[in-house]
Amino acid sequence: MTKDATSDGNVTLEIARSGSVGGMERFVVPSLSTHARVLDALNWTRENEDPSLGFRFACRVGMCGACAVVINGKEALACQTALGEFDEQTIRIEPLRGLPVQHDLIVDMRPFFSNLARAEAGLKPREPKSRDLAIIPPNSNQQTTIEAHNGCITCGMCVSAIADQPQSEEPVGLAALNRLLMLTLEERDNTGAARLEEFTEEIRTLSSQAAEYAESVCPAGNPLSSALEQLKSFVADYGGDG
Amino acid sequence: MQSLTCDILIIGGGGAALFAAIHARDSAPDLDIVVASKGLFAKSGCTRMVQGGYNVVLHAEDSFDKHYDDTIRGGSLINNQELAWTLVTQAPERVFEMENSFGCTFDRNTDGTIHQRALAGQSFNRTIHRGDLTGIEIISRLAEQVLIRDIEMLNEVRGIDLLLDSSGQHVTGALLLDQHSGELIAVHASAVLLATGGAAPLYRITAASLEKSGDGLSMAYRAGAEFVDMEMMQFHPTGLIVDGSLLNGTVLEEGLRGAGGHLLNADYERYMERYDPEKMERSTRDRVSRSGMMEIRAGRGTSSEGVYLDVRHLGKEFLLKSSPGMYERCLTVGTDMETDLIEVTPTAHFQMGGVRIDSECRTSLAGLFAAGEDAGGVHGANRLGGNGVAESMVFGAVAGETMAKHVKKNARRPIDSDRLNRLSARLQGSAEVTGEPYRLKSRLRTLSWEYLGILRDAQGLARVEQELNLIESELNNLPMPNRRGGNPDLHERLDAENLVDVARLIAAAAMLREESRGSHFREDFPETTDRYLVNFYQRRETDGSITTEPRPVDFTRRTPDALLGETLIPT
Repeated sequence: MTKDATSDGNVTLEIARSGSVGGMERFVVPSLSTHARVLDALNWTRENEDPSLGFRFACRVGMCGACAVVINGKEALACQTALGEFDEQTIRIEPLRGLPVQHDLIVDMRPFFSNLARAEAGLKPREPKSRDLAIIPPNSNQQTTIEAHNGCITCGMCVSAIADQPQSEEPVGLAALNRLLMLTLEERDNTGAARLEEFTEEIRTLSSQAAEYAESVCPAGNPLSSALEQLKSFVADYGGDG
Repeated sequence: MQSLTCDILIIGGGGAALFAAIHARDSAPDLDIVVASKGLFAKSGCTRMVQGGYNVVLHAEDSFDKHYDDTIRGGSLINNQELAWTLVTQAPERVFEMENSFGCTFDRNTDGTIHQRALAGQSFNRTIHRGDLTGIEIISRLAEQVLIRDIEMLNEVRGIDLLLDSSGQHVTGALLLDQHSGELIAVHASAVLLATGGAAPLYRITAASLEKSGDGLSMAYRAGAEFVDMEMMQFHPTGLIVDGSLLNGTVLEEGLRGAGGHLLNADYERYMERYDPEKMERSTRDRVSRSGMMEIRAGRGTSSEGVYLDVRHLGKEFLLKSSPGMYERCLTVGTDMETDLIEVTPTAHFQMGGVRIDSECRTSLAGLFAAGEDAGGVHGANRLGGNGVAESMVFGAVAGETMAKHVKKNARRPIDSDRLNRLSARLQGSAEVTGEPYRLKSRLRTLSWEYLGILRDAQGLARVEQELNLIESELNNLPMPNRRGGNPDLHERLDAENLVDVARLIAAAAMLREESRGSHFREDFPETTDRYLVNFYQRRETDGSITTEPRPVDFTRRTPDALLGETLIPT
């Protein structure tokens, strides 16, 4: 493979390395195919240049969120980002922010998952033994709202996107808050809004601009700023500073 | 080496593994449960990638008998009839649980009742779904139920091998490898569940998550467990062709064919006319995949060795409503479903064969359990669309409950320390990374695609066996790397080793089945014959050889005569 950076179709990856390599390392990747993704370029680099390069992926089709990274300064899924999207010949790839780096582009997702657990972001069923399926008219207001906020793939990009924004101590994060909104509205849930109390301060502190920015990187297109707005109105009634 | 003691060790991070963890925890709150997932928890594995949906009898006019007969007919009569019955009868319970206890919401009709549609080979509209990206809903809700319970999750910790007691007949835990720290972890457990998923990535073109490498299957193989139906590997007919990209082979959902999509060869002929004039594109996956491959082999494929899926006549409005995820996915590779033909290829999708289990998920080794793709027998020679995720949920739950009971009655047995030391010594190395495993795995995947895939014959299978010897010896000769942590090169090697084991089982069974049935097609024996109403059972002997033994199918609930005729497909 040619390494001539000036020939057509080549791209240069600037990849954040961890450990003994460290810093930003450059790799020239030849033209792969019309629809090749950043993920393909990473994979080419690992198979041909450095077999130890660390990056994650699983599903390849934007359903799992494992390949979330920061591309040219913005969070994105490597499998959903075409190399052709960029005018620049150099593409900078860094790990997600706000989570500890484990190896090159791989961050430790355990704090993210722990936050979902801390928020109790799972249904506490009202009728666990029921053998009836709820009648859910598709156009009911409540259902429409829940549906609009569904589809999170727990990629962590919303956490990364606002890592440098003013937030309360140990924030639980927008992904968890978004799920709590769904559960607050959920008729099948037995705990509802009670989960929100612990996060009153976080909800009040977070700015709508931050949520808008997080929304702009969400691969599920989740309306996170609307989620925050609704959560703010839920906690408005809570006394004190939560 | 670290040591960890628990009651139940679950290896895997997809739907079967998580369902097992939840059911084990809920039926025995006092047990220590550890789940070790090779990828990130709930992100690797294929439950998340489910598109079409989940088959379940919910409608008054449908029945267990109908779902059952469809499943056995779809499996070309060699399914394990008791396992298939468990699948069909337990499927509704898991749906009630997912909706009412876990908070899943599947699509509804306009009157608010649950929506059901038909995938290929079904006599009734019984597939529940959430749009065309059903798996995200299921795995997300399962994952959070695990998170809010007291279950220890080990992320990116892979299984290396099973630990046995000195008799070699009892599984007493497993040796794991933390892929970040590089630490080996010897887990001492009284029950171990294999729920790692199958080995579809053995093939050059595959729909599965690429980190899957038949780990559970190969661990069970090396420990001497019994296998069934390993010659049966499903290829999905419509994998998206994206040349030169990892996206190549990812599945476009079956609903597109079900809704009336056409398959065309490079001459724009609806070639299913030649292979199944009655059902055409709505024939079962095995037939449609084979037909596509035959067109390609006959020189009637596209320049990228594919065929065309044509859904233009279904109209944009319908496509956007019924398959929005697929519509968007095609757009990202420059294909607009409304105006363009979509280039597709058959793609390795699902492993029907696996570790032999009974209806309680017990394997031939005491203390070892299997569920999901690691287990064989439920689907026979071909799985119906919508029965795969149902299997993972149903048998995941069964496995969780069985293990909880097992642990109450069976104390942990002592680990055979010689075996443990041997296994861990093998992973001590001093070499630099080479990149060689990537090339060997790629060679293995091309070999399997050519000769162990959709069209097989004795000559090709013999070649596979020879080549596997070469690839295996090259793998064995590679020096072990000096670091285990943060070293993808090592994992590529371990994956390739595991895939070689699985390929050996497939090849040996495929050689002996001198007929064509379901997904197994022998060009030198193209007919289906009653002589082969058998299942092939396999195990690795202590000398390393594989024994493959045919046993007649046990027709406990339906005789072949009762199932004559074809499934009538609803329109």
